[in-house]
Amino acid sequence: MHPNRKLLFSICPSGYVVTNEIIDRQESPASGLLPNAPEPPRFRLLISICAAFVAGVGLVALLGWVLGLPVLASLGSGMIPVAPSTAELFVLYAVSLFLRSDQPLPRWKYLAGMSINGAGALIATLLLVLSLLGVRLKAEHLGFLILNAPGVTPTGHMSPVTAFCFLLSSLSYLLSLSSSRNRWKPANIAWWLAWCIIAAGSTLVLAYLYGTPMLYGSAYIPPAALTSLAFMALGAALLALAAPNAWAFRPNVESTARTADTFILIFVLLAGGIVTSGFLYYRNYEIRHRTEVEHQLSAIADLKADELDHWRKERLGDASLFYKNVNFSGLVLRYLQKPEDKDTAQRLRIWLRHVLKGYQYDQVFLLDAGGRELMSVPEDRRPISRHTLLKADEVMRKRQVAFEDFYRNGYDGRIYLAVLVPILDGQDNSRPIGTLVFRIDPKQYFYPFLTRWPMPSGTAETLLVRREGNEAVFLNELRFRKNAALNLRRPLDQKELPAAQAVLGLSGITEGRDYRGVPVMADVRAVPGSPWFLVSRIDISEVYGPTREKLWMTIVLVMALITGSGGGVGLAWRRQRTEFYRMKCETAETLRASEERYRQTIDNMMEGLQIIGFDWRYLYVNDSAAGHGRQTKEELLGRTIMEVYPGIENTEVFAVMRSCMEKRTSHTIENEFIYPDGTGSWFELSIQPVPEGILILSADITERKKKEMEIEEKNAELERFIYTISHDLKSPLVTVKTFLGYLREDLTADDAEKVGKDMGYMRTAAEKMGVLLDELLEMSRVGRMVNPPVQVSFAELVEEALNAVAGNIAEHKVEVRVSDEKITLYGDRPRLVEIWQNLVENAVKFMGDQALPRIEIGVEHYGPGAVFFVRDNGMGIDPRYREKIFGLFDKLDPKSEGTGLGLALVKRIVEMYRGKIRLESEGPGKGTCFRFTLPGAVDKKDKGEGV
Amino acid sequence: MKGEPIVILLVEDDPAHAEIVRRNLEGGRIANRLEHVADGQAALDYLYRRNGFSDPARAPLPGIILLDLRLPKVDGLEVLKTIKSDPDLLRIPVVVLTTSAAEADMARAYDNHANSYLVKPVEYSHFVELMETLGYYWLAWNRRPFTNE
Repeated sequence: MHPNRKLLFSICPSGYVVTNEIIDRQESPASGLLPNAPEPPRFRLLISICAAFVAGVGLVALLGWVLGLPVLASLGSGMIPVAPSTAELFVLYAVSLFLRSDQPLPRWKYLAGMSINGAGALIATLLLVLSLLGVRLKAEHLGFLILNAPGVTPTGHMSPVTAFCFLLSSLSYLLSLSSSRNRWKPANIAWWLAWCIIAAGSTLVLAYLYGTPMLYGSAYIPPAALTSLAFMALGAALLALAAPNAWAFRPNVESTARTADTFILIFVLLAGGIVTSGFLYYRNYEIRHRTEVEHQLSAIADLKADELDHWRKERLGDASLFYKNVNFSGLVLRYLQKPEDKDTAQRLRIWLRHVLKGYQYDQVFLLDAGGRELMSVPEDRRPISRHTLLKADEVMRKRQVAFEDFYRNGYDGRIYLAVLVPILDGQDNSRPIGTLVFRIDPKQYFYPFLTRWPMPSGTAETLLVRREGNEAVFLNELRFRKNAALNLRRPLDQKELPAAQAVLGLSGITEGRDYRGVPVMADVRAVPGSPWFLVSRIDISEVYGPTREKLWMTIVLVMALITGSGGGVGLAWRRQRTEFYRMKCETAETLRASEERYRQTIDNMMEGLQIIGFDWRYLYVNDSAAGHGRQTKEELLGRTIMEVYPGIENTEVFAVMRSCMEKRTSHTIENEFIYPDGTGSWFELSIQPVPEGILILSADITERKKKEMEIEEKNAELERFIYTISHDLKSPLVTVKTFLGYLREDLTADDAEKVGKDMGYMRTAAEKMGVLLDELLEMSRVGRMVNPPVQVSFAELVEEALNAVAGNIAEHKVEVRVSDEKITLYGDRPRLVEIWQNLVENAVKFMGDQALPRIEIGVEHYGPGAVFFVRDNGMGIDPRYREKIFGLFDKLDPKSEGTGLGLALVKRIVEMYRGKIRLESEGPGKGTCFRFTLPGAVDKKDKGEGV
Repeated sequence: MKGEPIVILLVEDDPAHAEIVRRNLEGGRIANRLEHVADGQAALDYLYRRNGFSDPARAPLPGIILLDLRLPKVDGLEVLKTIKSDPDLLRIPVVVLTTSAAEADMARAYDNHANSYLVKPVEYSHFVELMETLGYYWLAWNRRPFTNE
């Protein structure tokens, strides 16, 4: 506590005197403070919907596993199901999202959300590492029985992609939980993580939509379709969670958020357009490509079918050379009749060898009508199969050339074809005498021909099938299966098998699964004039191989375009925001400039201005206000008014302030403030309520107040003057009139003595009246008449004064001593003379019974503070009457001469020269000493004051 | 006390006015004894028997005080104040007799418990009538407790 202030307020109650009236002005109470609006729940609905979706995915998948229907978890057969571990994590994450729906977040929900996501992050990290290492935990199945066929992508395990996404989700969730002051930083990271999750989910879903799901067939487990969808929802929810805090640091969140919504909508529409056109473009490309492949396939099939037909016809042509060939049949007949005829045998052999050689048959047999082998070329081969013998029989019966279709030779286990020609008797051509068998080894020409593909291909092949009962039998060697010829059979009810379709009469391009179970595209048709069906097939994967590349390019392009458009929209948004903030900034700058102007005006204005809060603390003080209290701003700001001015609670000013504070009414008061040094200043205080508390406008009115008080004093003096005149003038009048009455009575009574007395009273009264009027005139001159100021020495002044009262002095035999002072005065000479004149007159008048009356006149100090004195050794004055003697018309001795105006006159003149007059007397009979100063007359520099 | 003349203390600085009062009271039919002092200080000295007023026979306690307001040395109001704040003196009726008809004077006089306020009339006949009435009222009709009991 400042010692000065303590001192000040020890005198405080008298210091705070409220003198003037209090003007009450009723004012409406200040408008309430702006409420601190909570964050609007703009995304709460979005979060809830997304969380519900995520929870739904998890629950449906778990239900699927519980019921043993993995289809529920996989969104269609042939696709990876959602792993139980993934499903469970989804449910937990959804719960943690639901926990965030409350604003503000209760403590337990905050902790629960944090622990769920913390645990989730740990599990996800563990599974991610294990999955990348190829370790698959049985625990992940959560007790469900999941059997995995070897060699097939195992189900029931979390994909590393899924695990990574879960990790990102946890991070985003935890970062958006931050409640620190700089929470927009983690919130921004959370926001971008959420975008990553959405992007990952979208990419996976897109891949599913385009029919080429990612990671299928790779070493890693692909994420399920449902998982991808769930991640999109989870990402959206996390985005909504992070958004308010990510935007929180920006002023005016509302309008920014609104424009953000618009830009997000634009972005979504753009992205939708890009995805759709990408999809359409890719689809179109795929269809064109497929058509092209179909054309190729058809062309190849056409070629092969024609060639097969041609080949068969050639073989039949070969046969027809011997069929009904009279020469040959004659030769055979001759050989039959004379088998020992070497020449015939030789010629026959030459024929057969010729055929064998020319047409690359495997072996040529000649059988007799009984089916016995007569001759074969080459001879070293194994005997003819039984199968062929049966066929030969049939040929002979029908007497027609016939093909024996693919058969397996019982002796060597190999597959052959054969053309059988019946040899008829030359005469009537009706009797079959034998059969000529051209055996064909398909490996020689046929199979290579079938296998040949006119363009490079990894999977394409042609297969030949025929129907055997309800089965399709594969006739040629297959590309992907050894020993298939005649061994591989497929039932015709396998409708997706292209071979079965072909056998069942289908013709044209078809899709299905081939003998391996692999999806293929095939051209199926019957080979004309044969029991064969031609299947030209190619793996779908090869068909779509180039399109897959195209797909990836499209996806990359689409993602690039989306990113680009996102960037563009983001830039536009940023630009818009920059513009928005620039305008805001400009407005703020203008506002600041004008505020600065107002602040400077208020800071520097002459009137003091202070704002005091409801807790009585100084909120604002301008320079003048601080100066009014002789404090500095720093000493006042932040402290309460009671701290600064202890004891102020008991003052009237404070009562007015409190009234303003509580009743919200305005007041204007005038108050004198006493400083610790005892001096005081007057202030006019306007106290009015403001929203922060009260505002006090103070103006220093000390000068005005001083003048007012002077005027008041003058008025009082005037009043006293008038009163005195009325009283003192009335008094002799009463005397005169009353004694006039007595005079008449006494004259009537003829009482001469009384008449003389009466007249004496009347004369005295009239004289008194005359003196009174003279003095009044003199008195009025003191205030009015102004002689030009002149320089005059002290000696001159005193001499002139003594001359004026010389008669009196001489009469009373008074000794006057004047010290020889070298002091010069400056002022209205006659007035100055009057001072000494009156004082000397007064001294002479009250000399009393003094035997050696003496008056001393002199100066005690020099300079502006010079003290003049007039001392006598007369009767003295009782100290009680020291002030009274200076009063107008106040006399101490009713019997004394004069009206009592003299000393009053002296006092007035002394005061005109800013001096003071004092009477010193030790009491009756001890003499009197008047001491006075005349600073205005002594100080030459102060010429203006001279009157 | 019965039969003894009532002591009237006249406090008046103007000898002419004192003479007027004296003549009127002498002419009246009520027995009285007028004691005149010329200033406030003398009045107080009289009442407290100081400075030359120590003899009770020469300065008997008055039955009524006629007090002028404007007095040398000690003002009439001061005298009134002193009387009315002294339990021994306050029962003495104090009649203010002055030339002043100023509101402020009257108010101050009554504030200090003056018993009456009279303005000296300018007309002779009025002054005579006033003094007669004053004599009847205050000396004959007015009753008051014994001062010393």
